[in-house]
Amino acid sequence: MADFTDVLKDVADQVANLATGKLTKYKDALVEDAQEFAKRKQADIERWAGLVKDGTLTLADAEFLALGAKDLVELRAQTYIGIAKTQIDRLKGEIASIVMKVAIGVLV
Amino acid sequence: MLSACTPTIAAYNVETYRAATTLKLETDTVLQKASEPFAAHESEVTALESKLKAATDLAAAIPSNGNAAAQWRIMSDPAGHMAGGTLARWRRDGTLGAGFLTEQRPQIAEGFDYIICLELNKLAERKCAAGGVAPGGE
Repeated sequence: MADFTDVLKDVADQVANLATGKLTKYKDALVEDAQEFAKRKQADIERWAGLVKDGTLTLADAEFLALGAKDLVELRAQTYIGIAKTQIDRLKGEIASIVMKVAIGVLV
Repeated sequence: MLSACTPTIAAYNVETYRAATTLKLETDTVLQKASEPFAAHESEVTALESKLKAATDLAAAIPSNGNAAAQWRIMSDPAGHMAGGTLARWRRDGTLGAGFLTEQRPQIAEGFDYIICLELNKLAERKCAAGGVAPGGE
């Protein structure tokens, strides 16, 4: 029978590698995506200011659009929080698999 | 181990996914006419508002679905600045400017993309449409 300390360490190592890999990948992509979004919205706001100047948009139009952009920030945030929750659920499932595999390996 | 299996978020729901994709298209189709007098399109707008409300109510009724429910509330809120707010503005002002609609219609479409993106990611990890990119997905 394997030393249980070794079993626990094996599980902990596999879980740590799994979690670090997934979280790093997610965090990097999130930062890149947030930067791209910020650039786009900045370009939108500058365009709207120009369109107010040339009379294509009223000031009320531009204000409404800017508040719409604010709504988009919230919609995005909810998407990413929700996706993080789905990833937590998937991670939980993968951790459970690791524990099961290691447990079976110990018993066999 | 059993508590570790309790999901933190609701599973993929095909009805809310279909509502998002259908209403994204319907909202844009209706708003293409919003530079015309509201009175000529009142029944279309009222029908669309009902569908937005129904989708919002559906999302809110699903357990552990708080994020999607919040998104639908933002999208449908007549006091907001997405689909519900834009339709309310048309109703209030009578017509909407062509320049405003050119800018607002893609914003609303992007908003729907975020709703669709979240729902699809409940099914499988994936990148979504340009507006609602899911980080880490392929």
